[in-house]
Amino acid sequence: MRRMFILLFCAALIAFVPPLTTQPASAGPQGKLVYWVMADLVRGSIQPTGTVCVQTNVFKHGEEVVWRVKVLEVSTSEDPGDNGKNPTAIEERGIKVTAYLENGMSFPLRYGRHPGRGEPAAWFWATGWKVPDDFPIGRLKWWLVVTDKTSAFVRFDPIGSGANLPAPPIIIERR
Amino acid sequence: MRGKATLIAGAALLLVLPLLASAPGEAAPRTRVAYWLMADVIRGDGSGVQTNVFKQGDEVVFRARVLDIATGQDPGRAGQGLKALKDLGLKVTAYLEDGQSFPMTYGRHPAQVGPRETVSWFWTASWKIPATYNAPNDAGGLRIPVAGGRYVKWWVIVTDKSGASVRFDPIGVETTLPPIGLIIEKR
Repeated sequence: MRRMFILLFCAALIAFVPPLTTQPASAGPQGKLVYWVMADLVRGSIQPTGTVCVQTNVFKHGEEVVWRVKVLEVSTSEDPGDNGKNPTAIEERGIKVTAYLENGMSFPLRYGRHPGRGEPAAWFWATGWKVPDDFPIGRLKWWLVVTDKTSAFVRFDPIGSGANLPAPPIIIERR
Repeated sequence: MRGKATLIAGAALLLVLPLLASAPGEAAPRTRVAYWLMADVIRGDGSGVQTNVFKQGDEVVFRARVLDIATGQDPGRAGQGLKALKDLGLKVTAYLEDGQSFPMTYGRHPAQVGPRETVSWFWTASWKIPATYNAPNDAGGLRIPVAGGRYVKWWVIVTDKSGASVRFDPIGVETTLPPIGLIIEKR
């Protein structure tokens, strides 16, 4: 009777242990990159001290930092919003793109058409931040996070961030 | 006998039809991205400032980071996996629309560091713009004109031995916004 009980117990263990061990592994992206994220910074149109809409990471007080981000689905290499043809897909998936500064500030990005009017145009995520006139000068690290309803989480850091390289962060200078 | 032949033909048709239907009708297969590729351009003057506006005689540095999609990790494992990179046959190349190309090398940045300093490993190539270089497009015709400048489009491609190929283009390259390419001004 005891042997029978042990046998049954072992059989039950074999039956239940695999689901127990695989369950946590299947939850969430587990390091898999669900979205391919590309990003850059350009000079916005507010009080510019140089050419507007060119890439830079050096800004003066009063200038506008603009984040531009392209999010592609890794499985298809396509924009989930299908270049503006299917913005509801982005809503349904709950895709959120946020830019963060190391000082704790964060900026949600919006999916939109660029330029706003005229052809040719592209659809990507963007937001702007006007550097306050009294903002401390110096270097400021930034990064981006893309999330969705499935708990996918992809973080983008500029190339070389973390290393002692001269440029990756945003550099704020006096006007 | 005739009934059997009809049955066989019918069965064969049933097997072949789905193949015929899916082959020409479907759009080009959507490919899964093998590598997460990001790239930018910075000044090669030591300041390392990100920009896409240069002058003739300046040095452009292309930087690229390549991550394995499956793991989210650098295949070169921050310099610990150089053999793995070789085995994969990973090649990263920066291209200009005028036909020039620049093979990128995987390395440590900055190259010289103190014992406690942090480093980053990625791919780079540099191009010193000749003093007489004339980029193919007039930047004065861009949506936000850059007077006196001309521009050349650029992109980066990563390939490996398995035939994987991933291309990076700057954001908005299909528009006429200024980050479309490298804007090169007269010195």
